[in-house]
Amino acid sequence: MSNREKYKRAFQALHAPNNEWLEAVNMDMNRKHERFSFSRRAAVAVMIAALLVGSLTAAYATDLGGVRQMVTLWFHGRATDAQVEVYTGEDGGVDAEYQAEDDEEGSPAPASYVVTWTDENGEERQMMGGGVALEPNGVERPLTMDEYLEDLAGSPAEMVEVSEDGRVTLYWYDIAEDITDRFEDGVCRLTLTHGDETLYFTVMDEGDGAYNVSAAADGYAD
Amino acid sequence: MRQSVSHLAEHWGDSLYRAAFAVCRNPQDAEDVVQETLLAYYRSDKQFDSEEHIRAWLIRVAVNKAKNATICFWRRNRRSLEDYMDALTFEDSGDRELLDAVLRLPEKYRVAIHLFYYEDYSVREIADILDTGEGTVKSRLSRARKLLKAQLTEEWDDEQS
Repeated sequence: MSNREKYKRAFQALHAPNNEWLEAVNMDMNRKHERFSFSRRAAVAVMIAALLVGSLTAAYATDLGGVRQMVTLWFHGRATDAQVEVYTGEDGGVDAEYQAEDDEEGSPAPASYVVTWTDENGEERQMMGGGVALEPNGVERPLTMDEYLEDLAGSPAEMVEVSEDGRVTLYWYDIAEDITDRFEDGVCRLTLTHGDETLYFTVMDEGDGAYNVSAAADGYAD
Repeated sequence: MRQSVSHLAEHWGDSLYRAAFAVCRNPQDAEDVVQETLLAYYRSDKQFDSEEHIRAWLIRVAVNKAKNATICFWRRNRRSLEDYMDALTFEDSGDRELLDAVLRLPEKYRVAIHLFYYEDYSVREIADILDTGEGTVKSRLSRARKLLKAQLTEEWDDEQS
């Protein structure tokens, strides 16, 4: 048996689960407001985009070949300053240094931006990534800086935390809401207000300790 | 030409899912990627020359979305990869080993190797899909094969790079 045949046979063990995602696509097509997509990641990204603190201070670091900014992100109810370095390489934002590491040591994929912050234990943490945006006509382009930051704002905040004793907490800004006992048929709906902003949260228990969070300003998700 | 989303889902859904999983190594993210890829198609007004043209576009979008998915840190509570793999049914005992070996490759090698071995794309076609050079694709395939050979030994045949 050839390598190709072996490869195909191994991957044929994977199947998209029962067209559930197709149903989700159909639901999304029928929605009036695209911004509240059924997609888990899209919903969370939309939600957390609102958490990015308004004023960003920028300091240019030309020696890094990109732009460095300080942003404030919310981690489990705690405001945290993070440094963001956006790289602008020729091939869509790949930094030569990470590319070289990848080539030589098999490290994770090269980054277009790097985020550094100090967690609640005083340890420095870092994440990196990049991406492209898809225009309505299907044409791809590198993400703009604003989109990077929006994507970034949606990345690190873990909105739902499950403690060792099984308590489930939903975080939003500095709000920590224990929602353990508020699920009905696997769904928890609650409204939270921060300053002038009110959001309707829908948290779905997906089993295995996984939760899907979506939020909207004009009502609960379907 | 255009095809209906349901037609594409039926014909290419599994293929997109497998490509996405090969990149992001997470079944739920792969599922999201398929959904978002089909939505991207639905929202696009792009006209295609053929079904094969549509397929290449979908694969490209799915790969890019799957790459983006790998940077999301909110997946901490997701089902583990090992649990997911344990639940799969493999035709041969070596299949799990091969899949594990592929998933251990660096991302850019996984993408190239999957498009080559599973989707049957040529080096040139892969270069077009990934918007990179043919030389880069050849290099990634060569390195990926060596890494797979090192892991799988006699279960993976030597091939000309």
